[in-house]
Amino acid sequence: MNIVACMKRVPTTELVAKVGADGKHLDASGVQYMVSFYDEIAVEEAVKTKEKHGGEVTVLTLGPSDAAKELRECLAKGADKGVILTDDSWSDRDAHSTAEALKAKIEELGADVVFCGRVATDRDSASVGPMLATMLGWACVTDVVELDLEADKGTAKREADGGIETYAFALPAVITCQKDLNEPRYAGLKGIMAAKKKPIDESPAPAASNQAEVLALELPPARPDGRILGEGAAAVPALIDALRNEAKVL
Amino acid sequence: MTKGNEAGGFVRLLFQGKLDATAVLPFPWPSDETRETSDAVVDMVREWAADAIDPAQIDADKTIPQSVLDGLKELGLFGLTIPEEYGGAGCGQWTYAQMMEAVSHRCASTVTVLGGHLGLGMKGLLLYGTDAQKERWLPALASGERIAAFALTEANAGSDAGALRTTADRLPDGSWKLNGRKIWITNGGFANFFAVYARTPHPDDPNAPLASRPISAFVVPREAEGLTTGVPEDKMGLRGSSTTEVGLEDVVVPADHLIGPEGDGFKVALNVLNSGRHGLAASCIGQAKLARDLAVAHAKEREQFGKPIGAFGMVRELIAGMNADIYAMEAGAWLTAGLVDAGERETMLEAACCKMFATERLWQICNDALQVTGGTGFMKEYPYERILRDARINLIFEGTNQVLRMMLAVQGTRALVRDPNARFEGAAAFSGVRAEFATEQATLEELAPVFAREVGQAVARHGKEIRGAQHELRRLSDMAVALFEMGAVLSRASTPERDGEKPAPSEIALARLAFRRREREFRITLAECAHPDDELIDAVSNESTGL
Ligand SMILES: Cc1cc2nc3c(=O)[nH]c(=O)nc-3n(C[C@H](O)[C@H](O)[C@H](O)COP(=O)(O)OP(=O)(O)OC[C@H]3O[C@@H](n4cnc5c(N)ncnc54)[C@H](O)[C@@H]3O)c2cc1C
Repeated sequence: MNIVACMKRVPTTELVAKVGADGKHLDASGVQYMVSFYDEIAVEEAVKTKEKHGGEVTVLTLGPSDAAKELRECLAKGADKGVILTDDSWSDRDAHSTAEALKAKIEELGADVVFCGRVATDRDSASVGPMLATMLGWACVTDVVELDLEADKGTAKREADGGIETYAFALPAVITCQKDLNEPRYAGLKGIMAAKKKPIDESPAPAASNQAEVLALELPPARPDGRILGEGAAAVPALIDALRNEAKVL
Repeated sequence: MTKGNEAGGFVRLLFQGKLDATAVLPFPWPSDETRETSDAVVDMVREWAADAIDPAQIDADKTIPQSVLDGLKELGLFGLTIPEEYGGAGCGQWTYAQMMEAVSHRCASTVTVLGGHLGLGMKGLLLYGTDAQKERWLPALASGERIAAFALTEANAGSDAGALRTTADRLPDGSWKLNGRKIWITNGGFANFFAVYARTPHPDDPNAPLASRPISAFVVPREAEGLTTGVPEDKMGLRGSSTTEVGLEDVVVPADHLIGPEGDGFKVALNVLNSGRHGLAASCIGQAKLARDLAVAHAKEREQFGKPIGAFGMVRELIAGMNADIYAMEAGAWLTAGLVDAGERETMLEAACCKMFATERLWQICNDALQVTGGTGFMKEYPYERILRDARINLIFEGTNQVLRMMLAVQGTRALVRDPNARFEGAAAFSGVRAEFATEQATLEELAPVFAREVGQAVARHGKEIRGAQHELRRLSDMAVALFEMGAVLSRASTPERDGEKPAPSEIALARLAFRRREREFRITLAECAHPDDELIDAVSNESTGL
């Protein structure tokens, strides 16, 4: 099976976000990156699929050449090759423009199944996967928590509000991965060493075709300090009073 | 004009009057490829350790759970420094040091498993084994199917390991029969590969007394009949690390279980220890950073007199001191690891300096972190007391810091004792230092000859007897450690980690403070040299002990 996992590098969770001078972008100085949480699950599912059905896993990212570091991490966990669609202003792309670039590369690579994270943990837009499927004209199941693939079709369970839906679909398809789908493995030293010898191809991403433009980026207002009202049962009346009259949530 | 013997590392040459900048400058930062690997290893270890290791539980339970040992195995860490041809990852000392630091930052007991295995237990085989022996044992050691232990110490042979009494007698078929009792063996409870040091027959005199028989090194697998291990010791710190007796009662191993030439076992043991002490220093760095991180967080949060305590000058002194000392600990350990990776053969004295410096700084940092934390730090619900208990052993094992001071100064003065002319003449120059550190460079160039002068005077006073002149040896080694660290700090701060990078202004201040603290240590010892308390010390101590 020809398997592609899409991966985005995102700022690490320890990031103390600062807005850049233009008021539209994150201040990139000193930012450290990591593989987006759900993309780790996508890569793991891709590797598990290979282990079950054979084939090859390509991890595809759109980003700067530096994203090779995150790609190596994926290669260390069992993927076979990495592809970077290089674009130094990668973070300026909207979901549509990103999906379009990925689509062209996926068509070139040829794929039976594409795994994406359900959402990238930086932008939180959850759009690239479904847009990609639409552009490719493939089936798409989002937020998948359980997956069973056969040679040319599959079934997937996804989390809907308050219930679980089960879908059947034909391959090729795009699957976006929810957190319960699997438990990503640790690379292990063997994996890290093996990853050094695996290929990472770079080619320039097609020019951006943004349909939406960022006007402003603001940080959420600082949260007021918490307050300790007392301890144990004795504090309950004060707590209820505060919830009712100050926070007005009761 | 130079006259001395050119062979020797930075520290040995200092004793002989040469400040050899080229031995340590430029700083041997790893290649991009090595750094990429070690970064990936560190990221993996950190992520795994945060999930899988509960250091407080390990301390309370006095044992490392099987799940953690299995995790170390699955990650492949038992094979980190074992060559790839034997199933390991073939990483060098740089990556080893980074890995040790990362594990140690989470749990001192757990890092001791790896130190006992990679740093000690399997090292003799790696250094002295034949190809056939390596093929036989290394793959299982690399996978963690076999975990190694280093069995040298006995009840009457601690610092004086050469006094060991375990015997290995040759049987008619060439195999060996071992008898004896080892104590305090790290990994003893679960290891299944023991490097055992024992006395073998005297080559010429079958009736030679035990003490004059040579020592040889053996592999004894756990399954060997007659090998037993005792109950785990109940310890002050490293409580999760398995420390046990190892009993050998008529244990028979085949001829090919002898490691290295017969009779060379003591050399094997010393080289195992001498070649790896910077690894212990690296694990001290992990614990020191843990203590520092906790103390810094507390200093920012805790308010007294209407201010965060970190804003008070005396607390600043402690925080800055911790950071500066960690910078120097890293400089020394990374320099030594880098020199080994670059193929430098003589790093024994540098590694000893790293071990003494890092273990003593770690102890001080734990103390300072506790001071910053006040009463909170004294409470068992916080980790400071565990870190402090865990830190203490580092000054004792892998050669006590007294024994290492002795070794450093005796080795350093050896060439001069043999030949008082084996010294370099001429002005000291430490070129290649960044312009920002011109003052520090001048200081080092001033102090190195001062040290050489003190060495010369000590050798002139004592000659061969310097081996027993311990007050003198202690002062010389303290000065040597300070000079080594000053050189390491200047080299690190002067060499960009990657081409074209410049140190941030904050690094310049950090390096400068790190340097000046070592300078102060040097000058205090120098003042002692001018007005030694030796006679008073001997009189007062003798009065107390009657010795
Ligand atoms: C937790 C733990 C793990 C260990 N793991 C191992 C292991 O895996 N394998 C192994 O073989 N051993 C191991 N050891 C033993 C360890 O290496 C010894 O404890 C150490 O070498 C010191 O020996 P000792 O404790 O007998 O102290 P001693 O040698 O009795 O020393 C006591 C004091 O006297 C000082 N002293 C001794 N001789 C001199 C001298 N000539 N000049 C000046 N001062 C001197 C020492 O510095 C020390 O302060 C371990 C010990 C511990 C506690």
